[in-house]
Amino acid sequence: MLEFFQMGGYGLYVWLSYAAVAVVLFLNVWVSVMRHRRLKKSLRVTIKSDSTATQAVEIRQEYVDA
Amino acid sequence: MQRLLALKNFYAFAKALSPWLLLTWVALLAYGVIGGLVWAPADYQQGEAFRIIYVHVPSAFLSLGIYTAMAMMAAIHLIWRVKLATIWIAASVPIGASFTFLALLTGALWGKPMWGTWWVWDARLTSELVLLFLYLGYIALHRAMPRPDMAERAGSLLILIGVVNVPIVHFSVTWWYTLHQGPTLSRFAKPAMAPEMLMPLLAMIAAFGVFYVWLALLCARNACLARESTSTWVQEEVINNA
Repeated sequence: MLEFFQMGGYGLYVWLSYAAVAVVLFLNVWVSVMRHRRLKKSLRVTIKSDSTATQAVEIRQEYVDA
Repeated sequence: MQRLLALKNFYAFAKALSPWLLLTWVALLAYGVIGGLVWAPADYQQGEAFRIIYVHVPSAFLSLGIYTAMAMMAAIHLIWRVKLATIWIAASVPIGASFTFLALLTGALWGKPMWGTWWVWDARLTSELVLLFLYLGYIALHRAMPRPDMAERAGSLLILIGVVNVPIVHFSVTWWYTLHQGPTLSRFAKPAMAPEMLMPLLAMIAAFGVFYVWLALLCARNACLARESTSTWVQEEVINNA
């Protein structure tokens, strides 16, 4: 097991490479997922403060259901 | 009206595709990482250090692939004025820049033990650095423009001009003398790589590609929500899917 982590003496370079990729990809995902959540949340707040828009949705839903 | 319909349909399509892409990504990544780190034998010249190939080559491949996709979208945007093209470009830029950065970083981490240096100013490394500056240049240009439509047009133009760099990066190892080893995948015909080394590499390239499409679709969905925030479909979307 230790041998696996040492990577024939190149462990530092190999694991740093894989860690760098993991960190950068994770940050990319995190930023986009957070933006998605924030966007939906702020849109929801805007809609709820605007009764005509909410009505528009209800009307539309009735139309779709019927 | 047509644009609204297009974005609405695109959003639904992207949303439906998302879980399948995620599933494919996890499967490919699991096979690629285990295959590359455990199952593949050590290289007879480079020993265990060669395992960096499984993150380096996919990063480099995607850095060029994403740029090429952006260039096609830039042409579509400039010729036919398709809004979705600019949305796709904006979604691609940070991912492409990330992969370019990772290609350079993992390359340095591979170069140090193999060549004895983190960096050389040769054709391959320099042109890849230019590619990173093209991605960053797009972001800078986009922010510097006063109006969004101007920013999008200038950005598309920059991408199209910069596309000359793509073949330079690709062929640099054959055109010029360099420390960098030759292309890994175009040497298919010769016995370049053992299958147990090659299969995880192909899986990793596919995994990175699927990841790009998945994440770009999510970014594009965010852009759709923001751009169409007053339309009915967005309001339905955010209320029904809390």
